[in-house]
Amino acid sequence: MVWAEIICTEIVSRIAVIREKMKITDFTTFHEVTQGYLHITRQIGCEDYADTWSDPSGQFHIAATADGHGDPTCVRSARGARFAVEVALTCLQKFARSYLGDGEEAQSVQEYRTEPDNQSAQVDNQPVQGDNQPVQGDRTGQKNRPVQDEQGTADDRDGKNDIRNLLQPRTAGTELKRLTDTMLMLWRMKCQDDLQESPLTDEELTAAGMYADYYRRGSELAHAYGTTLIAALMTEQVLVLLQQGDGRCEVIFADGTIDQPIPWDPRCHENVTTSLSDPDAAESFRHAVIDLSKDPVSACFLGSDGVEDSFDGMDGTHAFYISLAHEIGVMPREEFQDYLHGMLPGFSRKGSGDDVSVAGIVCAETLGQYRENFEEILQRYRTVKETEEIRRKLNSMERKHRILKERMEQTGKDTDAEAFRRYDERYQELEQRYNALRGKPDHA
Amino acid sequence: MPTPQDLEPTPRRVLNIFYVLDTSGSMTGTPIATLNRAMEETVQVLQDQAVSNADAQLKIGVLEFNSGCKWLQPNGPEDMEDFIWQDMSAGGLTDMGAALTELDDKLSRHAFLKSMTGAYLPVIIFMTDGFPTDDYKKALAKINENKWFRRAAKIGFAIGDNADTQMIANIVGNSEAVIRTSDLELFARLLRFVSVTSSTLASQSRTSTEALTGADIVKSAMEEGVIEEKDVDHNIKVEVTSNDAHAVASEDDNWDDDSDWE
Repeated sequence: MVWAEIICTEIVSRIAVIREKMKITDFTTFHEVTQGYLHITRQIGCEDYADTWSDPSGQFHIAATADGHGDPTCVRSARGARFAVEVALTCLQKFARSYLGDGEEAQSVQEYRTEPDNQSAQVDNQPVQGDNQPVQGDRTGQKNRPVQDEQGTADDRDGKNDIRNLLQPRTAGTELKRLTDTMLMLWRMKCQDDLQESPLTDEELTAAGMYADYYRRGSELAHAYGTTLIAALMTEQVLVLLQQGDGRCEVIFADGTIDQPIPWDPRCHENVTTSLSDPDAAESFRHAVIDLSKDPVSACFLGSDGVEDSFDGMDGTHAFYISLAHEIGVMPREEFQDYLHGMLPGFSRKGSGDDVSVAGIVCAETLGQYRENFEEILQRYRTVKETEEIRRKLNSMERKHRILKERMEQTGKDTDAEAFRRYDERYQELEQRYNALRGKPDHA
Repeated sequence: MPTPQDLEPTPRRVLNIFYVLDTSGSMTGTPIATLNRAMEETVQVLQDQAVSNADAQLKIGVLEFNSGCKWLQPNGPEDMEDFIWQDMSAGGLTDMGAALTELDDKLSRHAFLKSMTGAYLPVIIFMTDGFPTDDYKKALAKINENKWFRRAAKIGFAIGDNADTQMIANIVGNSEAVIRTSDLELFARLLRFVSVTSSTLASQSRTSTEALTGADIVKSAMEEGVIEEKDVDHNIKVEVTSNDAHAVASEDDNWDDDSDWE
């Protein structure tokens, strides 16, 4: 099944109309988090977090999800995930306003756009168990330092705060690096504050296993809060996507194509992921910037790996988000939120068993126009999966079918004949179904 | 209109039970006859259990080894309801190394474990009555790098006085997971018990630090009075054989930290 080219002729003719009509104010956001089935049975709390934010003036939307690591040594990963999302929303709001706000407002938010010192060590050397040690490190000197880049200082950049500058790879690289550096710094500060307020308990240190000694010495403490993060900022002009770790960002474009625009980190595979707590987290943040004037977007979904791990292949993940897109297009917003809330626990139970978090920035009206196309895509996916399952079942039955037949022919007994007949009936039924499915058009 | 819950047709998590059975020349006569009968009865019980197990979809794979090795099911593990026992015959050598190599090849998402999303870790039951006639240690070192094998619940049966209990202990990684007996009738009962207990316990939700082990299953057999302490040789010292310094499963192994699940 070729997911990159789901273009129907009627969509092509509508693209120009859609492009012209779709405005940022047509978009809404949603988010939902469910505790994983296995987390419930193991009595582990939910370690995912998600949130969204829409600018009251309608200029931009933000979505973010984070997945705290299930590693027992990451004893506060649930908090780490929450901190990550909170920081993402805060920073992206300020980032957006620095481009979209009026002059006065833009000046006032320059404060966060600093060149951070090496803050990676800030979380370490903190008190572990309430011994009233002062906070190590000084973060007060970080404010009000101008941004330096090849274009000069921020103060010199009058008229250069056009967010479309982010479409230039070099500018995006510089600006988004600053943004993610700041986000990391603020995340670590939140972790630091949390430790200061609530040092690691004996129970947490016991659970930390091999990391307990590190934690007692006040080092590697960020690891205790380890988490992934995916965040999206959508304005009228651009869609900015950021990611550290696993999980997926799935974008449905106005022409009906689907893509995962954020470059993948090959170090994220199976149950292994990179993390905000990694020493190279700053350097390994990934990003993508989409020019919405050229490639308008109908929906941007963010999801933790609890979604992807529920399927054998990426086609299942695509189908999942397509099905969400379909439901968004046909349901009122509140009804969709209820639907998601009711659906995700069962989805986790039958699938990965992991926490599942999804968030999105979506244009329900546009998605509604593709309703039939989505239904067609999902029906094709279901057909492919049913065909694969029947093939698997036929393979499973093949040997017994042969043996029962041989037995019947050798013994001539009625009991053996009956046993074969019953089994053969089922076998033939499946084979006919398989052949019928294979004969369907567009079978992948 | 399919919802996300409908997108995947398999509602239950898969539990694969693999049998690795010695059908060498020394098994000729009563031993192979007992094995055939024991497997037939065991499968019958497992099939009954499969119907009532709401959490797990049981699948079975049988690998026999003598001079070389061969799967009873070339298509891979079969659903328990589709499994039919074919009597095996005895003859040839005891190429345990070949069996381990073949098992290593098939314990992979690209082979017999194709659809393992959300699946339970497999159960592997080994049986031998003799000493290996090939270099099993080299094969064991290789398969110990296979995370499906490392994490599987492994139980070993050493049948008769000539069985290499050290080998079986090395393979299953724990002397507490090896049952030795010269009583073939007892072996038949034990095989049935171990198989049923494995499938029941393995399909219960466990944390990564409480993964089911072969020792758990053997302990359960002792608690049920099916076997006695004397049937387990606590004095066997397992010789760890691995090419990978980190390959040996430890108490601290964590599901979320694992990589290279091929």
